Amino acid sequence: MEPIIKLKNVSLWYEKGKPIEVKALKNISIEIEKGDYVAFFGPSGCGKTTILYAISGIDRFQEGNIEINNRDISGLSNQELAIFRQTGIGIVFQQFNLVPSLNVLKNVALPMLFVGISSEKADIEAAKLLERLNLTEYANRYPFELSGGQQQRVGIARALANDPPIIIADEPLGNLDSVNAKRVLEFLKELNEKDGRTIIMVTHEAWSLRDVKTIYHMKDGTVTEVEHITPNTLAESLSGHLNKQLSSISEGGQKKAELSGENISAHLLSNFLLRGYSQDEIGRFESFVNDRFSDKIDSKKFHELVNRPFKEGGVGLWKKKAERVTTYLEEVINKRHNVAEICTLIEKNSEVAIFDEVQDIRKWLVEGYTGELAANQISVLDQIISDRIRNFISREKMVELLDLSNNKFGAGLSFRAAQILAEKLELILEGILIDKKEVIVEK
Amino acid sequence: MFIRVQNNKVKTETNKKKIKILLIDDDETMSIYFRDVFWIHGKGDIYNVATVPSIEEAEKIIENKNERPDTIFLDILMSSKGKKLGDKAYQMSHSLDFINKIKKNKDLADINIIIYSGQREKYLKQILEGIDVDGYLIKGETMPREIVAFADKIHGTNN
Repeated sequence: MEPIIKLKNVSLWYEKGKPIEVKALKNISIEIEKGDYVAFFGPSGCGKTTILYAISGIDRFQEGNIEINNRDISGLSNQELAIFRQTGIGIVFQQFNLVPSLNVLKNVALPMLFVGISSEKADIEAAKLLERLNLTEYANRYPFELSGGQQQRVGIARALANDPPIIIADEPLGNLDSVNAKRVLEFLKELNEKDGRTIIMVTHEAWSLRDVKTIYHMKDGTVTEVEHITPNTLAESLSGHLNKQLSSISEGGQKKAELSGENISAHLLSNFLLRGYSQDEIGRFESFVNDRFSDKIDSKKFHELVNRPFKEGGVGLWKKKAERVTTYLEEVINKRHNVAEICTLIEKNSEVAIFDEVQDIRKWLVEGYTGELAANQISVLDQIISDRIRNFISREKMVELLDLSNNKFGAGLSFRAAQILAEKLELILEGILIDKKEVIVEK
Repeated sequence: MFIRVQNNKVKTETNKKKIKILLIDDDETMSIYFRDVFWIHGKGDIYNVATVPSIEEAEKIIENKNERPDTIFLDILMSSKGKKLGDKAYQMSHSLDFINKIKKNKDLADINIIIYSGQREKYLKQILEGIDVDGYLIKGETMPREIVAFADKIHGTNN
């Protein structure tokens, strides 16, 4: 297949030449094939959004070149770039970016007016797109009258306005609940498979990678690994993604073998608690979490370190945030001890009852969950947690069960809640679970 | 939109040369847009799209055998320089003269002429009555991909 986008040795600096200069992309060379569905995946600050902006011609890069259909876009004039952005690519934003003063129909019609389409024709075409995204009934509503999910669908319709061959989605699920996040993923898949459009997504959440065919793992402005997904490797890849990401993050991957479950948990926890912080801050935070895990420092010292200004060797968290993450970390440590104890019990006797322990963990897991849980949901939830601790089910299976409706013997949680719950549970299970085979043999 | 039934004047398979399209339009943004739509939709290796802002400059290109286009897209009503804006009748007759000149010249008659204009369809049909053109495309009614699809149809390059 012909590459539609080629990056050759692309480097991009922000504020180049100034004392505050940041090199956001470092010598990146990749080729994206026509009809591919790719994701740039990595923690915040890794350069994944910058790469989107470079490909879209929004951010100018200083070195290397980017070719779209074999044409170098670095030489394009502003006018040419504007036309390319309006007709060549459709961008779906995390924040939807709809025009508040225009109704839904006019929002979708707007990009067409830019390329000289008459207002009447644009309305007709916009109406067709609204129909495709099941939004016809909202045509005359204004963005503020819509839910987040509806707004994002309007955002997709607008991205399709000029029928672009490339769709770019910048954390498209970031502001959506589970049902709508799933729908957006379905649409992106359809745009790729049915329309043959090339989709490029930027995400830091593994579950958005569901339908992706190629994953570019990014760290510190470089692509550290390219992963081509086939249906067979998909499940494996999703479950392994965090560890894989970790291996690429921990200096060239050599450290992977040495990492203990605690280290992995520290890494997950750091990215979980400091989502949105820079890599430097997360990295330093992670080392303190590791110190705390191995009891080199106590919780008071940990709190002091994360609160201390970055320049003085701390993380520079604000007082409230520092308190919150310290409490959270202590809970995780506490729960990890509990799980370790449970696992020792199970190892001795696989039939041992662990109801109370599971209940305790469940209560911690659902803290902060805003929905109501019915009694039957709670009992299913406990069963799932118990099965996961006994390692009867994988993480993916657990998410599936958490999400599955209650009448199908699932916990009936929303997709997003299921993900968050699972992520939280894995924090305390990582490195502790008994190897599944042993358990099965004992049974 | 209208296309006259074609007998595939351009032999695309026998030679690998790109199909030459020439747009005559004095609107700079629309010209860039028209040209780049072919590139954006991955047809850059099939079509070579040139743009000129006036009939006079188009004539220079057409005189040169090597540059002679396979198809001309002509904005029939340009606000051409030096002429009073809104002098519709003059511009119209200038465009029609140009079309006739090409279609009556044995060497040039094979060039497809497509009217690419912002006029309303009804009005266009009226003025093109009896004029030898190969099709027309209404600017405000044609979506980007439809421009490419139209060119593919004329040149039999749909596949």
